[in-house]
Amino acid sequence: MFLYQVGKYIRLTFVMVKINLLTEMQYRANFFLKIFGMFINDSALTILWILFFKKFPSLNGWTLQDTALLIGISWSCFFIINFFFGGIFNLANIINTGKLDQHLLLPKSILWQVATNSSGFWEIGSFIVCLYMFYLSGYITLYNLPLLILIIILGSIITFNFIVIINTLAFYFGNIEYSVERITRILFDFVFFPQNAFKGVLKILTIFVIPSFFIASIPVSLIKQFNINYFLSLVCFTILHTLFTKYFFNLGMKKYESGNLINIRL
Amino acid sequence: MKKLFTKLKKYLAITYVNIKNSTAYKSEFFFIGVRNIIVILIFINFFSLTFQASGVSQFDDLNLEQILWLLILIRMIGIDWSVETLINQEIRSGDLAYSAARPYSYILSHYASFYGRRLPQFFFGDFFSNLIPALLLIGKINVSLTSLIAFIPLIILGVTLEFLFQVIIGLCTFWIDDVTALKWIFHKIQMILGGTLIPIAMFPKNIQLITQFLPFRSIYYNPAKVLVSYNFDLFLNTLLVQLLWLIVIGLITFLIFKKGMKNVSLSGG
Repeated sequence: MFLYQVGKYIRLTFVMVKINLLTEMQYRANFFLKIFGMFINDSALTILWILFFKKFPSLNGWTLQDTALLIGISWSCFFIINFFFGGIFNLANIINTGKLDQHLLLPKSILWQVATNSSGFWEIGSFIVCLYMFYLSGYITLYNLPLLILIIILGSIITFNFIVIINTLAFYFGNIEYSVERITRILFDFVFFPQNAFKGVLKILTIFVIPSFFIASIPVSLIKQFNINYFLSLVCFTILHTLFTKYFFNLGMKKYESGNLINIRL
Repeated sequence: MKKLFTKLKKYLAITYVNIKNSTAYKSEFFFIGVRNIIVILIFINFFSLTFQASGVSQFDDLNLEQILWLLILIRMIGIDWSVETLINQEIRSGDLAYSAARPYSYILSHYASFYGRRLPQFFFGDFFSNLIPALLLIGKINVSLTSLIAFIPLIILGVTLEFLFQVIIGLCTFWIDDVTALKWIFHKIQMILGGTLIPIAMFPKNIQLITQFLPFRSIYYNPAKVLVSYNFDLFLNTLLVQLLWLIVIGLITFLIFKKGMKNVSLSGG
């Protein structure tokens, strides 16, 4: 039953992406310009690291190959979220403006409806860079490709949960859209730097508050050298994090105040 | 003189209105502070590791503390990217037609409103939330009166230069509907060639040479370097580069605005 439901949601998600794609394609030039822009944007960031590691080939054992793998994995997670569930970034705005009403009466998960409402197709540019990063890392082989895909799926779930938790704060604090954006950026900050640089307070933060440890550190370690304990801890964390996110969002829903807006949703 | 004062009063009023708007949501300042503290911790951890791994005590006459302060200063002053977004919205919605008909310069009004938005963010958000943790975690930095006096005009010119770049990106809306991609590209060019994330001193020598002739490092990097490690030659060089690029970029802005305005049709009602 559970798998049937999951399959149904996956099928519907692809339908929603197709609808979003048709909407975006109305402005074809912008569509391709944004993909190109994101490609340049992410390429520039990788050039930054290539230049850096040209001068410092190893930071206590952390090399350009490790950074390439780190970027490849973490940006792939962001790509999946933006591409399939891009609407989730607007959750705080929807809560704050009372626009959640239109999703309440439909027989599908509220979070799924909000998330699939729009897609960030520009992330295709980022994904192309990710593929190059995997190549540059030299760690990806046909043997560990299934593990890589599984890790990216788990990382995407954790990223999605984190974005939901942060946006859910809008139930409690009201207008915090800009703040939500800033907190979300912290996650991007954490997964951009060599992971062996984080110690002490930062390490604790990456495990318990901003889950970059599970999106970046553990996945990189697993691809470099598989460890069953690390893998199980990643799976367990994903399950617990998902349950907590669901609980936290439902708790927030009790505080939701309708905007009493009369909207026709086409 | 009276005429100049009346003109200035208009732009100060725009700044004041934007200060009021920007301080409406106080929680934002709290989260700006939280993010800044975390970024400082990341910088300290990352650059300590870099110095440790490289085995040197200085890069381009800057030690670890100076490099950290330099980056924190850049973050403290760095502008949010709202100018091009606002211009983009105004052009797309047609509000530009109203703004252009008003008795003030369109670009100068944006310059004034930009300060109105940025100053509260700077004083209530970025300044203290960067300064206090930086003082506690890195330690104090030796800033002489000369370097402070040299820094002020340089940073005003640098900010103006960045503002003009943002205006150009915003004005591109006359020809392309969405300028987000241009914004991303500019920001990343600035990140690499402007040394806003990894100091230029840490790049290979040939890249450092290229950046000397471009405007990006004179926006924040060089003014911040003058403050943390004063050098008269660097001050003079930065000032000249800034003035030269201000003329070039200012002229380009003016021409693009003039050309773009030909596409705007004003109608009454």
